[in-house]
Amino acid sequence: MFKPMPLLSTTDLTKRYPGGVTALDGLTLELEPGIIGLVGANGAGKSTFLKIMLGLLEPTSGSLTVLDIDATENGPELRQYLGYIPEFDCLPPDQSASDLVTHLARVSGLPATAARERAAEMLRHVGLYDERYRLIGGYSTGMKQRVKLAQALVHDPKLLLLDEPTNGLDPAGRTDMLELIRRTGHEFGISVIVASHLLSEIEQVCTYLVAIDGGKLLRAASLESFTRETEVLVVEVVGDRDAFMQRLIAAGLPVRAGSSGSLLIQLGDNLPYDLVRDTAADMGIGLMRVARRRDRLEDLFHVSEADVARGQHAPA
Amino acid sequence: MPQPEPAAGAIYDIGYQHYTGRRLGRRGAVRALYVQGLRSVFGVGRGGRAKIPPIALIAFMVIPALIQAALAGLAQGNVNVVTHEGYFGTTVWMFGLFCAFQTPELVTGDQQHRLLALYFSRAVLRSDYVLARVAALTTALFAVALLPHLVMLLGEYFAAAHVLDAIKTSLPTIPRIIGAAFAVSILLATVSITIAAVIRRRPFATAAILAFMLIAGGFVTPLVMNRPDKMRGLLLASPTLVGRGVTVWAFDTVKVHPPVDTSYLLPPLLRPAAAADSATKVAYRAERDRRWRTRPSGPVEAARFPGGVYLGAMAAYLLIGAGVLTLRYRKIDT
Repeated sequence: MFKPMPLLSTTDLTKRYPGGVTALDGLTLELEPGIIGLVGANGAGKSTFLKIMLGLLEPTSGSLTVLDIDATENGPELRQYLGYIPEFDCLPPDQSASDLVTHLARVSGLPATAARERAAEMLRHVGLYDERYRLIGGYSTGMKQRVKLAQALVHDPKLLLLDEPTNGLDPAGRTDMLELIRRTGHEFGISVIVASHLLSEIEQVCTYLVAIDGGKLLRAASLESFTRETEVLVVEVVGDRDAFMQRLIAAGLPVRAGSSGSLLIQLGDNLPYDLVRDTAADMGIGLMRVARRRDRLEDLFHVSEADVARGQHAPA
Repeated sequence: MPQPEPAAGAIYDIGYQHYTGRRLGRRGAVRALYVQGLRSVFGVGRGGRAKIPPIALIAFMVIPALIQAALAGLAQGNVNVVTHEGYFGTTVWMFGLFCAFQTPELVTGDQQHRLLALYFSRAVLRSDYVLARVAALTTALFAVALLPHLVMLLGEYFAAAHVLDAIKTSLPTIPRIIGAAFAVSILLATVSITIAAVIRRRPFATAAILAFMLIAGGFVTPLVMNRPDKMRGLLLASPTLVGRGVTVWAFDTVKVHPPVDTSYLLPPLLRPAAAADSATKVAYRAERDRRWRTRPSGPVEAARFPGGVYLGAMAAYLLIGAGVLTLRYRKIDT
């Protein structure tokens, strides 16, 4: 690429469905090329966002530019450079993977010979070379997911959009799929946007995370800055835990109740060991355990949701 | 130490290759959808079993033409089992069955298996997809409609004493054959695809197409035949009858088959005698012929609509089909 061009930029992107449901609510965002995780609970607006990127849905208001092309104005032109894996099963059972991927390559605008060659090459990349003449109806879920990846890559897109790519896969299938996504981003040099509600999976492959909830942007940041904030201090006490928690909150610490009577304190830049010790001593409460733990991103996400709802850190 | 030679034919992982060749964009995409649609109407690339219904239906459709061609050879072109004009009417059931069984191959599977999501996320518009599918079915029906006429024309040519004369005689018929076949094809293709697009399940789509094409026609026919003055408007509710109307109109403007002079079949000595047939006999025959001619042979003949009505009805079917298809495919959530 000659000059750094944002992969995607949105301004105040909003999508309201006729029923009154707001799927996206004033999303403003700019993304650089890379492997980007789009995370949020089910119904957070991830699929809607992907479909607007593809030009399959029209936004109610706001604008979206992908690869420097206006997504709503120039849908067909833009889609030449996009690959898409829907979250649902979308393969005809009565065709071979080879026939289907070749046909879809031609629908992406590739000439016949190139379509055949690239279909074979992509099916080899996803590990289906030997099975490519078998009918898709006889494939396992994992194999079908690979066919979906092959058809999304066959026309050499600049950006790959994946909607819940590990849905329905067994643990081994998940690992394989995540590895294929990682290779696509790092070895093939294709930018990837992965929508998922499983943060634990996404954090294995992504370099950047976009968290949305209720159609609103919660946060967009690099993976490191996300994980830094997932560090918590686990505190177990003997005594009045709730009173202790209230005191710490009053002192300005982001504290929430953990499981089995523990307290979880979000760790930021400064470490509140002294404050915890002094408060405990002051209240005559016994400290059983004080330990740093790296939580999974899910935990951060719950805190963030609470932030949005209440405008402050509060016990969950 | 020398490096071991890699085994011949070994497969190397040469890594991911970017595509730098031509991209044909929307036009290439539409053509791919059209060609694949045409192939799947005839069951090409879908395994042996998918080819049975289209081939069987085409065979049944051509049989009357083969009989006609064979008889034309035997009887020197004086026997008309079927005519170019009446062929669509004779084989309308086969047309209906062909549409009913082969249209779902084109559109139902794409919806049922949600393949549309993969199409619409590529370099096409939704309307491109619909147009490509309608064009594919129209082309298929057009080919199927022309084939028996080709067989009959060849039969006529082979049976004729002077091939060039026969060809010359048939020349005015050919544009009518092509025009009528095209009109019927685009009409039935649009109607079938519209029905199949709205009804998601394959067996129901097949049943609905059959019902609309044939049973409606069968229902309308006796009503129109019995009370053409009051009921003839019903005719336009059946696309196959509208197709027949357009066909009759296309052939009607010029007498296609010259009146047959059968007198040469008699031995030469008897010919003057035949000419001097008794006056009563001639009058009786004339009356019988007149009655036979005036009795409508079908609902289209009974209705006596001018050609413009059928063309208008056809245009209405195409417009309604286009409208329904546009709304339907705009609404489909991929």
